[in-house]
Amino acid sequence: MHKEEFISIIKEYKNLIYKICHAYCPNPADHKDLEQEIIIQLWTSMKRYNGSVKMSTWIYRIALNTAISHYRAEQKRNHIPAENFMFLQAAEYDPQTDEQIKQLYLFIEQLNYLDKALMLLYLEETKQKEIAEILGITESNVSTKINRIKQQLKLFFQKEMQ
Amino acid sequence: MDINEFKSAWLQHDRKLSENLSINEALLKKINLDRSRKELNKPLSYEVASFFLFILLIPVFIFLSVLYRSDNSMLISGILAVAALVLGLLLCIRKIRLFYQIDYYNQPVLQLQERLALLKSGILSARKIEVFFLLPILFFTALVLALQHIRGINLFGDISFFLPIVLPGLLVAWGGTVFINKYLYDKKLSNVEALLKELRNYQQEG
Repeated sequence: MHKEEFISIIKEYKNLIYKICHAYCPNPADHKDLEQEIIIQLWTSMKRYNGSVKMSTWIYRIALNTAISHYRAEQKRNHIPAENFMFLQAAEYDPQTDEQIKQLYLFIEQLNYLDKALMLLYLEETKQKEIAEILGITESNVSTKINRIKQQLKLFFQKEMQ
Repeated sequence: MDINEFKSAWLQHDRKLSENLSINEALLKKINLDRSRKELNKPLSYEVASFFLFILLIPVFIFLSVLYRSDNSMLISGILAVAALVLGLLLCIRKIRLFYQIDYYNQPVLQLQERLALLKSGILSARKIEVFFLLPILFFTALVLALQHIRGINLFGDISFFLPIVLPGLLVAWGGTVFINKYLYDKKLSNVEALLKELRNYQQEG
């Protein structure tokens, strides 16, 4: 695959990569580190894509797996200075200045690493069948977990209101 | 805020990102993305290299055991060395198999995380055996056989000279390994076990 072709795929899924990085690494320095890791993983794996699953399913799997592994990894690796790697740039838009979005990310932040993935997929309006396929759990399990997260969301905002 | 408001805010966020998020194409073109492949293959390459090292060493120690079969202590050292090397080879094969069970590109999130945890657990368990059993046996038996073969010195010849040097060393090494085992390997292994349990519970709920 040529880099140009790869860049066009990244362009198509840039929002998704950005949101996953933001959800798993609220710290800007880590955020850029994860962004770099996801892009490198996607580039490395592009040649293995055989079309057996939808491109979006496949990109979600790789991006989420990379994010979860990154999230779980101990902070002992050598971090590359963040300013050297800024593949995605949000000009004139900082989600941190948007109070509602800030609250959303705050809620996502307090979920465990697997529920984070589930919540992101749910918010992206991914079908339950596809969520099940990406995560490797049953559809009924997806539905149960979504209901549980909804309850958590309710409680979270009730606390915030108080 | 309820879930519907949450969703519509998220869609709005997505729209704003679509309008504002750009890709630094110049940086993406400049970076050597292929170098990551080498980094990912490093641990596997180490295991493959170890595999060939064991394959090479086994015949050497079989040869030395046969050569000194008339001396019981040498023969036992040789047999122990070969047994340790065979065990090392088996552990190596097990680890390589665990590496090949990981399909980073096609496995769902939970299965891949589970495989990664199993790989980590497999490597840690193997390392425990290597560090606490294999390496000391190999070091000791290789020393005995190499000294006999190269310099003609029989380490068992003068036990009064041998014990005061080796025994204290063995005791210190034993204390050290117990400490490392308790505070490094066991702790890491229990973390991996907890992760595996967590992943399995997550799959079974619902």
